[in-house]
Parts: sequence; structure tokens; C-alpha cells
Amino acid sequence: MGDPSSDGGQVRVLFFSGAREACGLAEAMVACPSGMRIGDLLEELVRRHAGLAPLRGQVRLARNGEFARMDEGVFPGDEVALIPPVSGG
Amino acid sequence: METEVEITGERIGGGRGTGGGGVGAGGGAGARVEFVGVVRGTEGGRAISALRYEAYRPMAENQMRKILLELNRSHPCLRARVIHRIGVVPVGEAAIHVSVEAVHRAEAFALVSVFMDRLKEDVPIWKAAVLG
Repeated sequence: MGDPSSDGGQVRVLFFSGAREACGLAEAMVACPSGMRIGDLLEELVRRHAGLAPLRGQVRLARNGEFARMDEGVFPGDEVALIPPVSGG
Repeated sequence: METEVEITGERIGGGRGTGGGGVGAGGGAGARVEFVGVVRGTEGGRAISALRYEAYRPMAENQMRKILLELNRSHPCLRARVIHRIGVVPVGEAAIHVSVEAVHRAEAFALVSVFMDRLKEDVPIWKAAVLG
């Protein structure tokens, strides 16, 4: 992870449950410019997929398998997941 | 505390999970509390035939392990085992089995109860109703 040469400066984004239904995709590759934060990535995803807008206030993001803050940096090669409210058990 | 966490596409029961095995940790345990979450026949007032579960698997397994270890600080137990089923789980079948052993019952009851609350907040597993 974190090696821009191997992934063309992109992050892999995974969509689960309601997020997948809202944008019709299970995953996508998204360009990751230098200085991008998790919150910027979410805004970029909402720009691409208007169906995600209603989820913006509920969805949490995970970066490389850990819940991430909106002001946390995101880097080429990272795996970011959109986590709508969960309902296991 | 010893932990064992598994997400499986297979049916829980029939030797997996419930009962079986010695109550453990070298005879140190005085209690084993088991919780089995079962799919009920209604969801939001509608009759259903099953629930379909999906998970962000590696993260869900890590989160369950982290939560168990975190709760163990306030409710010290000896051993915790969690199996969560994914895919289509028909009404009446188990979606989750939690088994916790402790020296005394109070810690084991508490850990199971709080773990289930945390699971429903912080573990990336989702369910959707499958209608009759």
C-alpha cells in the first residue's frame, strides 16, 4: 500500500449494503490526488453517484479495515469502504 | 482471554457452536454463557422467509476480536467464541452464536450482552429481509 507506481495513484472503494444499492456498484477505483482526505473522497463519490447523497450523514468510512475520521488522509493503494448503518446479529 | 471469531456461509449448529467441548481453560471456568441469535419470522411487521446477511469480512472479523478484547478489560473472561453466518439464513435458523466462559457467571453474562450491543453498532455486517 501507499506505492503510487503500482496502482496509478488510485484508491479502491468498496460499497456495501445500501451504499451499493444507491450507486449500483460493489467497487470502484478513484483517483487520489496528493493531500486528499477521507471527507474529500466521500464528496467526490457523492458527486459521481447522486444516489449516495441521502446516505452522506449516516455512512461511515473505513480505511484499510479501520473506521476513519473525515479529516484523515487517504493515499494511493488504500482500500476505502463505505459502511452504512450496520445490522448484524 | 482467548478469542475465536469466524464468519461462515455454513449453517450453525449440528456440532458447530452450541454445546460440546469441555468447559475450559484448564478447569478455571465456573460458567459458560451461550447466546444464539435466531432469524424470526417477521421483520418490521412483515412476514419473511429468511434474512440475507452480508459482511465486509476481514474488517468484521477484526472488529469482533477488538470489541471482545476491549470488553474483557471491564468484564474479565477466559474464553470467547463467536460464529456469525452470512448469506441467506432461513427463519428459525441461527445467524449468530456467542459462547463465553468465565470464572463466575456475572462477567460472562455481561460480556455477551454488551458484545451484542456493540456488534449492532460497530461491526460491518448487514441484513436484508427475504420476503415469503
